[in-house]
Amino acid sequence: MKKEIYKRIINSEAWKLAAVIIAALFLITVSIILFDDIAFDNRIFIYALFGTIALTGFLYSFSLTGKEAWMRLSFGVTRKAIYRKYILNSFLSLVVSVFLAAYYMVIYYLVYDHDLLITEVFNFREVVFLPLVYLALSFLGFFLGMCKMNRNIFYTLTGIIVVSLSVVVIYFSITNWMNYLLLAFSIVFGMVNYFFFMKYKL
Amino acid sequence: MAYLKIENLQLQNYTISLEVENGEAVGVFSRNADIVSDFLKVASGINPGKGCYHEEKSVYDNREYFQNRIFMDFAHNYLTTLRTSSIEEALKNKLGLSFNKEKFIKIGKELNIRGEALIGKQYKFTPAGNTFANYALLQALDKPNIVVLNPTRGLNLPEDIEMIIKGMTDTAVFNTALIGIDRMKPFKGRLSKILVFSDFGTAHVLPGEAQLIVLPHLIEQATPLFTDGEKTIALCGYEKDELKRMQKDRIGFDLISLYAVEDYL
Repeated sequence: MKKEIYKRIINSEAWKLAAVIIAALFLITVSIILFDDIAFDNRIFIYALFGTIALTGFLYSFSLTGKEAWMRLSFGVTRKAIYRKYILNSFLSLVVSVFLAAYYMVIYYLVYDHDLLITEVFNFREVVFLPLVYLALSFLGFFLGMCKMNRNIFYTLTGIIVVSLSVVVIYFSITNWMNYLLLAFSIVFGMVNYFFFMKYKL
Repeated sequence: MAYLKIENLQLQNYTISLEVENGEAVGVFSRNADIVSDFLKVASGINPGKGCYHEEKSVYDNREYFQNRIFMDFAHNYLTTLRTSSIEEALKNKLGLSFNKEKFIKIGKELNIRGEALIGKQYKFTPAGNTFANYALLQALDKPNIVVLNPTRGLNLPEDIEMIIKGMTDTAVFNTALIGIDRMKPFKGRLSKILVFSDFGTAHVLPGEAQLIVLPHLIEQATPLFTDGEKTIALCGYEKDELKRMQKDRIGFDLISLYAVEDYL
């Protein structure tokens, strides 16, 4: 009985998520010390974190509407439930990644630059821009999956997006209007996706 | 009240009306596989379509309807393993479904699914093995209402086909079965009715024991179903005297069971 309860706890999604977060917090702390030794750009972790979830979200959303939705609908999950879970998962990923980024910034600030203001150490426009990129890409992937986009074209597009984003982040300074534009795009696309998802034929 | 009521559903060029009662196994047949697939997707509530009702509510994205039905296309590869613990966990976590391990193992042994799979990191099933695995999964999910497409895909041995069809149409196991028929003969005596999509843009609900007539194409029929250009297969509405007269006029015809239709196409 005890073994079963233990197994159930270990196998639960909440436990797995908590374990990953704890591991990530530990690794962030260690990496902050290592970053100093090799004189890395202090933004590198934030780029890596949001870049990874943006790409994962893009690919996951594409596969959800391209392949997975069909399977779930066949086995008795309704479209509404699929979309609700997708939105919840997207926001959960966003909250977790924002939390990790915030933890990184606070620890970095406390360890190295506590003489300055935190806003002087990190560019907050960038910090807002990157999660919005995640949301926009996730919704775009969801839409392209519904359009049944050819896989080769999709992966080429993925490559183009990665390169474009890197260029934007490296060579352009992020402005407020870019963030507002991305936010508007994400909200509109989220609603359009819901409308299409409830209507499109598999 | 019928479990599923379809009233004037418009699909491609067809207008479909059908009632599936509790305890019925119903077949769907057409020479055009796409229309069968499209119809089953609408009837199972996966795709939108006007005119499909379960307890007077549209079946499209209907939670109550979805909870008690499963749609499976046996041409699709649903399983990549036969390890029951992995299947159980995946079904529970991803789809919130319960899985009857014992039933799955029992059917797996009866059908010797392992003998039809190349076992590696992921199992690669033969076409017959894939159908066996899908059938075992269908049984193990314990859903009362099933919608199945390509039920005998990849099967060659009559005893395998017989076993799968018998299990799927057993109304003591499933409350209703809506089956997209990929071969007619083995279903003989197993279905309450069959929805037939004709080559002439009409849809007919025929009883399992319906009798058809094969006639030269030039003779006009009241209810033609299929044609190959030379002959037409139609629903037999002739009286005995009319058939006798045709014999007398040397008009060649064959009276056939609905299940023999494939022999004439």
